[in-house]
Amino acid sequence: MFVYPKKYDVIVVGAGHAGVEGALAAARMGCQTLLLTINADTIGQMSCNPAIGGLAKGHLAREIDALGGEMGKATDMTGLQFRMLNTKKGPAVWAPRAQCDKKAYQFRLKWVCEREPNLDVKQGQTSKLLHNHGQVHGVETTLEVQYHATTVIVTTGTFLRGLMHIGQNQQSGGRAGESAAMGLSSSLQEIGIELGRLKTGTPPRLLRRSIDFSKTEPQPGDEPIPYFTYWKEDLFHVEHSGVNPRDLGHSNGKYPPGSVLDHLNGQLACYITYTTDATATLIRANIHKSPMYSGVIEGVGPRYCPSIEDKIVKFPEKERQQIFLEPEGIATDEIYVNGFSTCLPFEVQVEMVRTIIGCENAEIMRPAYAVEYDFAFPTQLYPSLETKACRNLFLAGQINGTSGYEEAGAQGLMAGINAARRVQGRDPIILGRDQAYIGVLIDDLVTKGTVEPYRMFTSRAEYRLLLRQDNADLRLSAIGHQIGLLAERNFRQFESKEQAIRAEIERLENTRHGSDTLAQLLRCPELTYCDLPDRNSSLSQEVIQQVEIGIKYEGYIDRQELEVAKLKQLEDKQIPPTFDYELVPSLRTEARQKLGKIRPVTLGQAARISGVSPSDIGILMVWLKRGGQLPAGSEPASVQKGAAEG
Amino acid sequence: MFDDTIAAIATPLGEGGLAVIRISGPAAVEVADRCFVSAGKAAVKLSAAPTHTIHYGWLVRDGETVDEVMAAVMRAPRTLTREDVVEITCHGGLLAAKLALDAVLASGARMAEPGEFTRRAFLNGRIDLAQAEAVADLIHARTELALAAANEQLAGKLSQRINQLRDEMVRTLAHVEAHIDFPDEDIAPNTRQQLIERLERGMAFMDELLRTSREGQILRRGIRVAIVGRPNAGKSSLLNQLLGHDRAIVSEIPGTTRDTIEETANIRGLPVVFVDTAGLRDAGDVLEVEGMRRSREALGRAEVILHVLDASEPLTKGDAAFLEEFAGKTRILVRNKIDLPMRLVLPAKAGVDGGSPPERGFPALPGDASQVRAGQELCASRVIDVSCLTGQGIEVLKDAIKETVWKGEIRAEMLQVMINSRHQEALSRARLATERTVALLKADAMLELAALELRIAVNAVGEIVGKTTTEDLLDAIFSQFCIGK
Repeated sequence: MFVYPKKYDVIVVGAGHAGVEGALAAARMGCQTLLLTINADTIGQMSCNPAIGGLAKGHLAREIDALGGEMGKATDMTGLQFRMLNTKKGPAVWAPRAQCDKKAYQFRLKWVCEREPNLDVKQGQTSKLLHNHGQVHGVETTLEVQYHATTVIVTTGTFLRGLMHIGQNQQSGGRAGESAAMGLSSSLQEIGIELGRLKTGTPPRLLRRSIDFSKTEPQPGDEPIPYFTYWKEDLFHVEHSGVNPRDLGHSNGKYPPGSVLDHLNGQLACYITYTTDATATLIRANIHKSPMYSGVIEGVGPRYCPSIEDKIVKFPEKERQQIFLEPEGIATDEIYVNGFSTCLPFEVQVEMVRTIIGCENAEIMRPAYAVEYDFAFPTQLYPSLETKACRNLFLAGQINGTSGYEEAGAQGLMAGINAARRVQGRDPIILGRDQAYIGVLIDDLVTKGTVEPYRMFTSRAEYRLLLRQDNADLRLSAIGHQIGLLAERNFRQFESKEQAIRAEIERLENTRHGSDTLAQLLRCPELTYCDLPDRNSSLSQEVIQQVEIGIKYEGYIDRQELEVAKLKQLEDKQIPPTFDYELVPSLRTEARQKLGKIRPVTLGQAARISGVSPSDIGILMVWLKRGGQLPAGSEPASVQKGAAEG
Repeated sequence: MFDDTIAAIATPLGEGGLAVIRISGPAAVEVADRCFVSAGKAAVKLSAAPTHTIHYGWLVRDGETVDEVMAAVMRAPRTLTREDVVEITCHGGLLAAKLALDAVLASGARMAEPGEFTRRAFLNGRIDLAQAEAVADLIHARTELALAAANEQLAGKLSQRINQLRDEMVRTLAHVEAHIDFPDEDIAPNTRQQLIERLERGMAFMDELLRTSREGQILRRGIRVAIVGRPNAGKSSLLNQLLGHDRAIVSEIPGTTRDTIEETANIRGLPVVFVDTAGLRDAGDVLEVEGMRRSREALGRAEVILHVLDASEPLTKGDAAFLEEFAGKTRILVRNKIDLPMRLVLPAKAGVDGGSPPERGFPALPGDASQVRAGQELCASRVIDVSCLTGQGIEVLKDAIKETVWKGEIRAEMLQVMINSRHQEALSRARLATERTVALLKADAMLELAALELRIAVNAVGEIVGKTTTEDLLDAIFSQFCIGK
């Protein structure tokens, strides 16, 4: 047994998308931080599709960036194709998406972590959490090395007792070619954390030159590039972009120096193709070989990311399935077959991919597989992502039942922030559902839990018009700066943008053109800012966009803000952590049990627990107002009165 | 004369504060003794109580208390039916009254047939035939509907309907949301036109449910119909014709009706409260002035105006004034005294123009109900010709009164889904939001705005049955669309 002499403020176990954000955030907030990974060559590895963004996920990535996280910049520097989705619809549901160079992304994040002053990156497999009296104080690795710390964040992704399936073949592992984390699960259970089992899958990778792309439809990227980061200036300033000077490319400043785009001096296309009747026939003939259908896999898979066999079986009327062929990088010829996840045996996969149009002679480089892994039911967490069972222990990412890099990164960032806040002796940062998709994500997890891998959708957000990808900085950057995460230069840039937006809106509302104000003109659906008779030509595109949206959407935005205000009273009403629901006589049994288990932090959170009715909330309200005190003899009547009113 | 004892709810159906269970027959007191426990200091068994006394106590069934009640014991012959009668006043509302009645029936009474109390009163010589018929008619309507409603499980039927509506709306929302959240997917969400059609079907369904709220109110408390007209146009005669008995004082001296008279009648299944106003004219004495003040008040609360005109005389200034005064209200113009030569000419538009022959402006309806519908339905000014002397046209008038407030048949099952005011409020919000959704879709507005409105609508409908949206929505999306990469 060796105890490492340096005592850390924060230890992050796992260096995936959650771990990297968490470690960087804690280090940037001034904490001595250790990032422990099983394999230092797979930091920020994109285990599945090397893409960031898309609907709701793009929103999350933008929010991470606005708070001072790394995901947006890493994407911008390593993306090989960028698109803005949904531009035919309104701005609230636009979403950026980028296809990344898988290796470049991972090397970039490793490089960023290595250069972060307060952050140590070490290879080591954590086997045990060290704790006593319900409080964590470090970890132990399989090499019997102990690292001590004030707080620990566990971000183990799919590695906890990971089991990979290809047909009836099973192999232990968290990702193809990498071993699973076996000891940590029992350590978590010993602490009192209940674990469940989930499943996810990944499609095969094909060799580029074995595909006939002429039979497919190319899907080019958008120009100008819809970058993820709000701090675009940083990308183009080598001293801020964190690029290795040896990597500088050839676009002469058209793209961020040293970025993948800079090397390509352009974008790569993705390709759209389809399955055929033969695909369906083949799958039906072999369905019994699927471990999902034969019952070997017990974990629950995501509905929104079904395997190809699921799609064929559940939607037999659909004649063909759309497939995307996406490059995995600029220095590799591996092609990701998006939409073709499967866990059928390899021999079936070989035939199956050859039924796809354009893939008649395709060679599989890596087979598709399904992976089962342990997750911790997220209702065991506080909204800060700290476990209820063990003080100073935080869980983030796929271990909490989510799926997706962006969902993981968002949790990692918040866990990193809140672990650092704990070290600093400050209150946690908890984002509201009206503030960020991050808030929606964490509130859903800790309040409702999940039974399948949780993915973010814009339809999960009540206030979709407020939570746009274009205004994440306006929503969150002040917080990022205030907690010491967002750099001063970024914040100053944000402030001047905010100021410009406010000034221009005011000007438009007070400048008349004929009988109308300019703002009134801009409200006409057919007019844009550029059509205004008196416009400010010095404004940036970002400012103009905010001015347009602010004015055109005003009525709807006001309405959503009004709803938020109405519920604010509930959201603001704190429930003391020691509150004893057993003492409240009039609560229904189901409500009492759920409240006692989930221990909501506010009345607003309590109201969102399934099985807690408005009248239960009414009772709690009365109870809390009285400070939980029983006025002698008069209690039941007044409580019931509260219930009736509620 | 009758050897069995009958019981029924004697008060109008609905959500009133109190209801009366009437028991009549030789064993009435005995039956009441079995289900009534007298309470308080003066507690006494009803069989030991003097006649025409009232007692406080509990209604019980199988040893369990059903309600807190007052019981009046009245022994023959000075009773409604000239039999022994016990009237138990219990808490009102369909359910409470039904439970009380059940307790009484369980104690040995037989459920009264519609109008059976009145029939007994007549056969026992308590009332004459004309009275019996009028009362029976009333009792008939109310009892019938009360029973039908009480026997239905209101809540079950209603939530079934609401869930059906909500499921359909969630499916529609799923189409919109799938289109928003999965832009790269090869899915074919409904076209805007299809979505609009689905939503419009939903709105029609909401309208139907909302109407049951109004209909429920009408069935519960009746509609108020005011009879107006210049003195001696025949208002009181008309009221008597509609009620079928002589309630109002009828005379040929103008201004005979000195006060406002309210009478309830069963008109084609609807409880209708007729308000006979004092003749509105320049009052000569104090009494008349007071009568006129009350008349004005009664008119303000009326939902339908029956304006009685004397067909045997030309249009007077007074008539014209009434035509103008009530131009904005739902009204029926009743041309009375058509047994006499027609000398009345109505203006083409009542109270506005003058002079045109009546047939052009107002098609007068002969005694054919189908033409009421063929004419302008719910028209503010329908014209019906009647003779209060011969009774001609009265049936057509009854049809017209009913048609004015109620389209189609009155069926007991309508009460099955009668919604309460909380439901109505939520449903109105849902309807409004759905309407805005449709408007946005029609205007080709951005889809997420339509989604926002539709979400509000789905949430509002969900409030009624206590369901939230997000998880159901995701279920609907993934069960309808083959989504996922």
